Amino acid sequence: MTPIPDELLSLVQKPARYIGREWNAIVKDPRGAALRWALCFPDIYDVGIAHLGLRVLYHILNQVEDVVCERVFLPWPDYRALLESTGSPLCSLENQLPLDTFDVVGFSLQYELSYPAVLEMLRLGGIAARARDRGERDPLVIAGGPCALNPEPLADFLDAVCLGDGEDVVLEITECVRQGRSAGAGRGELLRELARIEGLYVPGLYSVEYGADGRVRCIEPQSGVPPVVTRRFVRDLDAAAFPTRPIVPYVEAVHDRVAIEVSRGCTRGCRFCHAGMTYRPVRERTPDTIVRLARESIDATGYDEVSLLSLSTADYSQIEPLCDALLEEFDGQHVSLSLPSLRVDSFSVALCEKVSRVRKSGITLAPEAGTQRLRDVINKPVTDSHIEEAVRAAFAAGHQSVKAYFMIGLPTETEADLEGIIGVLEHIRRLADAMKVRRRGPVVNVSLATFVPKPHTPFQWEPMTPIEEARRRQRFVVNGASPKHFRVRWHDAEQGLVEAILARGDRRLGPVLQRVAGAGGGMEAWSEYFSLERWLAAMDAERLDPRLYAGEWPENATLPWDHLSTGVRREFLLGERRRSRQGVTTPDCRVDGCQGCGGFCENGR
Amino acid sequence: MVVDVAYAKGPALRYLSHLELMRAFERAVRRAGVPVEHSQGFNPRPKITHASALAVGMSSEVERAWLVLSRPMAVAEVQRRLTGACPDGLQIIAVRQALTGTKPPYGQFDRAEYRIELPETQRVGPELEARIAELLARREISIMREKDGQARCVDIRPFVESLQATDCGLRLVLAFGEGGQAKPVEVLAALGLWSPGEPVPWIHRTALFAHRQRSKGSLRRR
Repeated sequence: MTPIPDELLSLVQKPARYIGREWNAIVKDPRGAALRWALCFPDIYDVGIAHLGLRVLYHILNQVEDVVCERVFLPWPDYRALLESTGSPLCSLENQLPLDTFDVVGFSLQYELSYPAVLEMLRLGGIAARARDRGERDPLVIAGGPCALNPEPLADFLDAVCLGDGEDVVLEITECVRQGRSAGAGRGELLRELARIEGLYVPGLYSVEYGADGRVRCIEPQSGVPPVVTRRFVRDLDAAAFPTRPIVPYVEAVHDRVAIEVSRGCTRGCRFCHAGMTYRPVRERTPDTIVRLARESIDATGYDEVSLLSLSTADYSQIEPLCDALLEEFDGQHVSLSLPSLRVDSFSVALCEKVSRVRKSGITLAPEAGTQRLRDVINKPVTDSHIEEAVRAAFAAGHQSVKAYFMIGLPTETEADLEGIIGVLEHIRRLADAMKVRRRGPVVNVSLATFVPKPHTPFQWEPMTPIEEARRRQRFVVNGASPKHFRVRWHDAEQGLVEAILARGDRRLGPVLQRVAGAGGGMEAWSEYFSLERWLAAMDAERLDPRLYAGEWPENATLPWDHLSTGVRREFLLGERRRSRQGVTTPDCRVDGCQGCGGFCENGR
Repeated sequence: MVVDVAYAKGPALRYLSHLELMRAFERAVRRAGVPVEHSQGFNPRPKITHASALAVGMSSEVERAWLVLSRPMAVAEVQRRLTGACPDGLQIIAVRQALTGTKPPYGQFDRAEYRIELPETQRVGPELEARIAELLARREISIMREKDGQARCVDIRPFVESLQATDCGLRLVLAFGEGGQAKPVEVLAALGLWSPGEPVPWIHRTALFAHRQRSKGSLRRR
């Protein structure tokens, strides 16, 4: 039963988002539980239910006998209105427990624009927004996920933040809170205990001062608190817990299939890539483990598709034997395999063809930049001949079109690079014509993203291209690519600007988030609800200058996340930035030996 | 081998859409290890045919699904396996073997019976009886339907077979077929018991009827 009268569900879109009761959901009796965990995803059910990290932690926590772990998602505005009109609190799906009755409330931070949704969920769940306003019996609000590596805009609202892999940390938090509770520890005492857990950052124990230039001047830890908190990582991925009974949603999820994480981390070293810099070192599961996990998951869910997840699947060291083993395992059972995140080369296309025995999927290439010069700047190891061989292989395999991802606004980009994008597209079209590809629609479906500088990457000091200029560049490509042959989609730069501000944000953005959440209801990740004016007005009211955050940062500036370490050294990032300016590439350490990044690797210098 | 599965969409899952229910059913079949034949082509689909579509919010105890098996399996075994693989709210009632090669006989269903739970204030009484009598006495019940942004007027009187007050609300029998259909909520709206934007009462399908003797064309829209 949902917290609102059953009949009222007839008033909302996709009411099955709110009913729970899915296959493989774990519903325990909350009465005997020593600790109640809420795992919250600050976006709607359809998005959050597909998230692998949430699946993993849900199962790890529920394996602890006296822990009850339940899921909470952001409601769509129609359901939120019902909660408000009936005076009902936001509840978990399993036992419909109000959010404020949990001991620990954990948020997954996947996307900067979902930060207002965190505040909205706290408000709907009856939890005080600011950590310092919470009382002894109020939940501990924590966060994790990629954006948690710079959680500063949310610092006022979070009691603690997990940096890096969560598999072990959630259990350590559970133990710490359990012991603190039974020893009758107060909230302040508990937070200090939590700060002793490796990789757990307690923002309230650090104070930030700002200089006359408007930037962070220093970040001071209280005494006895580590000056730098370092990201946790699971060294043995093969031994790490992985759920083989994932929840099967009724509502169609954004990714509705079995997903097996084959490896974590990537050392290709693309200089814009947050994941590539922050999930080091590369760790793999063995093919045997992956086949077993896939088999158990398919049997326990009834899904008909297995997706192999990683940051670059073709780089998995035993990808061919793995694919062969999976094809054999599921032969004749109508289970299809999919490999997202492939490289741009013929090997990847051949691999993709090989695994699409049951269902054929499209070929997606991500050259990111239009010229070799710019691809060297961003250290994307793709050449024109890679693109050509990949496209040839795709057309030869019978594909009528390919998908291509490009970014505009990358550092040092000029008009020649934009012309280069059009050149790549024209080249693909000529190949298609030469190979007599029969097609009805466009030969290339193009996606144009806008570069957003991210913390902990070599481009963390780079400016975000101003909106008008980004639009001009997008138009340049759109106008140059004949609509007869190419369909170009682009993401508006307005959301990118806010993403850039929050990604490199500091604690002064906290009140901005509160204003935006209050005015907009937490749906900023949805373009139809997003409003740049709302953000700019909120920043203006807080006397903050968007240009300070979105522009170029001085290399000697204190970064708001300087006390949070991914292990990758600042000197390495700076060196990579310098090399990018010289057009010098840095090879993958798996092939050419250690490059000295510092990312926790056993072979590293 | 073909099996005809009778199942219920219980109140726990009444807020599933038809598509969501079909997907849940298909996954249950796969989990059960009941061997179902698949279509050919780029995107092979299991050969499962459902008798009818139920709207979001409606439950039913009389749903049917037609499964083409890829190898024989005893119906008792199919039922046992399916039962173990279904979530709460999706209940397998019976599994029968059908003649191989025949098409699902679901096209012969032409009437459905519904139980509608009304709020206590609207239940039995002279007021409700009067509304029912008035509605059934009408020769035409015009309602507005919207399709692709176009509103059009439809007469649903030919589809209203019977309507009675019961302890919990209403018992309604609606006809459907090539000539068209009426939705239970449209009848509620015509009775003045519901209007768009209000919560919909719980509607539960209690029976599907087939093959009624009738003069051709009696269901045609006027």
